[in-house]
Amino acid sequence: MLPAFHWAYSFSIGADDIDSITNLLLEQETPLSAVELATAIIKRREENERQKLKDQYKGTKVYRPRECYAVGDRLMFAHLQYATGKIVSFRQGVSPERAPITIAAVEFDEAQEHQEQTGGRLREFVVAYQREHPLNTQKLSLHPGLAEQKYSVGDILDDPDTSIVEQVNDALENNADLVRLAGTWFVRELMLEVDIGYMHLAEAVLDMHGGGPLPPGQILQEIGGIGDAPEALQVFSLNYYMNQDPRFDEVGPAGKVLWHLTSLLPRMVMQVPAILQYEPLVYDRNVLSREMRQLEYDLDDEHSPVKSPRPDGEVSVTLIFPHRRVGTLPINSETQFIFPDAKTPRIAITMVDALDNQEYPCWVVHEHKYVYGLAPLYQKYHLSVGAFVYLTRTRNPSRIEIEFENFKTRSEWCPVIDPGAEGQILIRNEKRAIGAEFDEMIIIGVQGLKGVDALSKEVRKKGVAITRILRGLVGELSSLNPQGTVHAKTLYSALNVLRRCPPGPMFATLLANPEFEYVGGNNWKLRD
Amino acid sequence: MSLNFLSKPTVETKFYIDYSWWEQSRDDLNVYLLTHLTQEQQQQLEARDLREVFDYVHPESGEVFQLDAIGVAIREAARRDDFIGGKMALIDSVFRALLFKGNQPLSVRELAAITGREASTILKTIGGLRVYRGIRPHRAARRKAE
Repeated sequence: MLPAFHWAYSFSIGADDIDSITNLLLEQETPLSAVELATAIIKRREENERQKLKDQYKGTKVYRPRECYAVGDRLMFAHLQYATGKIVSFRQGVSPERAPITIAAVEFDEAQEHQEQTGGRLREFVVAYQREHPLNTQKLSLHPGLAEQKYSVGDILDDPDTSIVEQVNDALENNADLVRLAGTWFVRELMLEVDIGYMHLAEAVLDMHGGGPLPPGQILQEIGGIGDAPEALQVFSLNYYMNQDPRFDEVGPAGKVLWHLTSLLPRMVMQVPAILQYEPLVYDRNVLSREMRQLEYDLDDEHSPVKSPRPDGEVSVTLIFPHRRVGTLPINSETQFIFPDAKTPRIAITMVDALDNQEYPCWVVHEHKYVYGLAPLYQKYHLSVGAFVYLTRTRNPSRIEIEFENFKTRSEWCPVIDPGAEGQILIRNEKRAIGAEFDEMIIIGVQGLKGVDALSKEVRKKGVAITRILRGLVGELSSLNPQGTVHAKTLYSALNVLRRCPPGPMFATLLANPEFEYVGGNNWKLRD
Repeated sequence: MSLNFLSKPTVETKFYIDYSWWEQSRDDLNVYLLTHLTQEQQQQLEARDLREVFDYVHPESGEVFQLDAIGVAIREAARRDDFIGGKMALIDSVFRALLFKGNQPLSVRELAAITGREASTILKTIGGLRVYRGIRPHRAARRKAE
């Protein structure tokens, strides 16, 4: 805990602070993080404050009424917040008891703004006072700033009411002479020159490792280093030059640099798979009933405008067709807290199968809200559309555990979409091999992936209206149900086989079109 | 005068006794100050020259203040435990709190803590347009707060 008067609470970075940290970078010839630079500022300020106090209290005497002083003596008044002043004159006075007393006029050092505390610049104090007075016997301490510190630099940095690290980053951001890479700063002019030859070598190293991702330290080691400069500076310079070269893509999570060859990045990471592409539909959210909004929240489609609190532990996702088809996971309102963040557009992570610890290299694409690379895992467990997927963070933010409630593959009845020869949609119940627990209302199969892909492509190409697709789906799906209705969840799942669409616009379309009749409990049918 | 000066006082606004207000007032400051003294003190003062000035040594800080006989008596009275509180008018209580602190500007919150009265009641009473017993917002303190 910092003392209440601590300078850090009112810290404002100044030109001299910037100069001192620039000099530090020049002296050390090593890139430093904002925390390290802030630490240097704190140490410097602490020393300055201490020195200022030492100077202020140098040669001062503690004021005690019984003591005798001379004109010019400097006094410290512990009971007046350690104010200091100089005796400028004496006079003889008379106490209310009519006893003679000696009075010293003291000129205080404090600037004008502090005079409210000290009550003015010139004040009078009794001296050589022979009567009893508590200040004569009180144990008076030194200014707390001169006493031994009971806090550390870490306490200052961690105090939520201080903002030194943030101020360092903001101030250096505007300094053209400095460069920031992966949270560390360095002087542009002192960076090592990394010529094109090193870039070719880095490319070759990454190529040998299947494109990456590799940390810069490993690349540096394998290319034999860049001169004999400190390793941190070599890494910083290599990062800087690789960052300028389009052959390399930085794919590390926040605070960690990892390089990958751009040319060897999976196609579906560089380009959003067509089946995941959603062109936002304009609709009036006010028409959605509370029941519909609740279902929208439960489904938690990554394109729905829903917000969730940060989860404490495991997060579950129900796979819909587009993600199952291309081996992705959605980054929705909950899973966004599971996957690591970064300023870079693509982040390389490892998904770990909690059942057998097998690792799957995956890619987080925050901008387009998906994680790519899970197709082999989905196939391994015969996961169906509607399967429950459980995700858990590990201590390493780049390693995410993934789990399913898998069971020995068995046959289950489920609706299956079969694209007809005329391009129409046919749906019938069929038995399918399933390997893990699933949501009975989301599960849906397809007959002939190629045919479904072609139909989906046609829907996108021709811009087939969502109303038309829904009309076909409601008709087909309600015919499979003895009540002659279809649940919105099932409809949402089937709609997304043909066209990417979150629940909100689907509900709005159903409500706006008289062809559809709402029968309650999120169930729909075609109007007779 | 800036418009801010006209801003409404809050519980953080500091107040003090503006003795110049008494110079314009029909009331006599000395007569009012005497009401804050004990009977014994009042009797002692009857025998003294009220214009005589003494060097009063503050019992805690050692600071010297030039005070007349009433001023000294008030300072002495302020050291009594029952000086503030008890059954008295709110304005008298606030006035005594300020005397007790040597007329150092005090916020409404601080005055409430010393007098044991509700801060909102104090604010309603001394924060209005009418000035009671010279108790006014302290300009320097307010400028600082602004």
